[in-house]
Order: sequence, then structure tokens, then C-alpha cells
Amino acid sequence: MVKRGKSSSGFMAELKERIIAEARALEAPGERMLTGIRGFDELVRGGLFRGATYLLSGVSGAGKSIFCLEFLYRGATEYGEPGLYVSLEEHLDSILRNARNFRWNLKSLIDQQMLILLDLSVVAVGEKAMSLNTDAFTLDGLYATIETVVREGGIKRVVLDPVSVLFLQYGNVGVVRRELNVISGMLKRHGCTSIFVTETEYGKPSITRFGVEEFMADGVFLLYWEPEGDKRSRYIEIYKMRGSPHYEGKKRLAITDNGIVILY
Amino acid sequence: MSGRFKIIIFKSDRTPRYSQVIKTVRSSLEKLGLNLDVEEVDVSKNPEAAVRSGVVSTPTIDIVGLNWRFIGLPTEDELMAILESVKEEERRGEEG
Repeated sequence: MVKRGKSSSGFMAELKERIIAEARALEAPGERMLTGIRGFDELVRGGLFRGATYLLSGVSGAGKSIFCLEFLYRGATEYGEPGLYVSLEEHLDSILRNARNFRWNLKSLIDQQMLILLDLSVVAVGEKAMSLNTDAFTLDGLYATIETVVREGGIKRVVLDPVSVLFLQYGNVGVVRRELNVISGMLKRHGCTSIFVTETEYGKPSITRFGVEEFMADGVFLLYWEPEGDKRSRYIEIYKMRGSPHYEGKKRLAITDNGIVILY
Repeated sequence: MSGRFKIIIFKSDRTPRYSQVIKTVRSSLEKLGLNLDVEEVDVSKNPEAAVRSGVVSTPTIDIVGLNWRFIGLPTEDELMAILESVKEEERRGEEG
């Protein structure tokens, strides 16, 4: 006698229920977390969504690395959330030197393991000579490194700065995008809120350098460094914020000795 | 077996064309008559190795002792050109 499973109508009903439940979960507003950056959380109507991945895009000098460092610094000092900064381009000593301009004691946070800085810039890896042949690859080394640190350090905030260098180094935009989606999914599973940084070129109207980075993010924040007369001024714009209303338009941004302030 | 030089190949359970990587490395060593240790490290099973070695992508091939890293799959000619330096260094070592 053949034991029958669920009837086809029963199976379809169960499938329908699962699809509805998943759709509701997607629609449901997630838990918010405050960045602590003065004036920013108001722009996104109450902070970022926990577990989401955001893209921060802007030209060199716009304040991207400072924004990210402050995101981690405030997380560690004001919300007790350990953070991980992965540098894919700039040497860490240069990042730490930048941070000395602020009243932030990063060294103390590093000593307490509330902040982990990882230098994965190509030139930093043992100062090795390199040969790149990247027609077929995965970013599983980056995945394994980040997941190990996230799991062992109880990390809640992650910065990858800048992901655009991966698109430049590996050339195959489609594969890099797929691999970053895999990493983003892993970070989501660990409940990490992440900022991926991408650099745009001066004078180019595109939001991101390669035109694909924005599609892997739950939100996109643009930083501007615009000439005004004989000076330059910084602005921020919330370009996309999935699941939430947000301020529309640009806001002036200042970098003070205590970090970023969103002005008017 | 040379002690100073060795090859480490970093892979993962998703590394594309991995058999080609191994074939290229073995064939290059054989053509040059080099007898180096070849260590395979799976970063999916041993993620600490990726952290320690700063490996971002797979496949990555390190020529330990020469401080050279191949990211992605090199051609046999590219690999042999670098391994020639290993052979030269070994020859000098034997003479000196």
C-alpha cells in the first residue's frame, strides 16, 4: 500500500500560507537602531533597520570614512554595540591618524574589543607582490574573515570601505555584486547592520561608480562635496530607504572636532 | 622537498574551476622539476586561515618564501615564470 502525502490541494494551501507569511515578514517594520550621528537618525525617521545593509556613496573628501568611523564609534560608546571596520583600500594607520582629529579614543575601544579594525587592502597583505587573474573567483576569503570576526566578537555594526575597489580589482561587476549580496545575506543572518562604502568620480552624475552597487542595498545615502564660490561644502541626501519615509532633498553636513553634524 | 619555499592554495567549497588550479600548479612544478610542498587550505572549513593570511578571494595561490601571491587562476606560463625564480633561488642556495 502506498502511503500518500498531503493532497495537492493541502500542499497548495500550505504553500500559499507560507508565501503570505513571508510577504508579511518583508512588509513588517523591523527593529530600528540609532546611528548616534547628530541629526542623521531624524533624516531617516528613527535610525537604521537592524540587520539591513546600506550603501554610502560619494566623492573622495566627502566624509565617507568619517561617517563610517562615527557610526562604529557611537555604536560602541553610546549603545554598547561592538563594531568591525574592514578597510579594503586605505591603510589602517592612515584611518587612525584621521580619527585623531576627533575627540574619539579609538585605541581604548580597540583594547576593549568594542572596535575591530581589519586591513584587507591589497597592498597591506604582507606587502606581497601580486598577480591578478580574476575571470573566475569567489569572495569567500572576505566572507570567512568577516563571519569569523562577527561571530567571535559579537559584532553588531559592520563597515566595508570601499566596496568599489573590489569592482575595480576584480573587473567582473556581476560576480562582485553577487558575492557582496552573499556577504550581505550572511551579515543579515548575524543581525549586523552594515554600511558598504562606494566612491563616485568628480563631475559624474551617477549615484554609484559602477551603477550596480545601489541594487544590493536596503538604503542609499549620498555624500556631496560641492564647490561653492572659492570653497567647498558638504551635503548629505537620503536617496533610498527601504521600508521607511525619509527626508527628501539635500541637507548641509559639517565635520566638527566631535564628528559629523547634519545642519540645515 | 624544499623547506624554504612552499605553495599554499586557498580554496572554498564554491571556488570555480578548482581542478584547473591544481592541475596548473602540479604541471608547472613538474615541468620545472621543482619538488615543493603544496598545501590546500579550505577557507570555508578553516576561516581562521583566511583571517590570518588576509585572503579576500578564492582561488588565491601564495608562493611562500618568495612573497608572491596569485589572485585568481594564473596561466601556466605566468606561474612558471614566477616559479623559475624559486628554482634560481634554490640553485643559488645549493651553490652557496
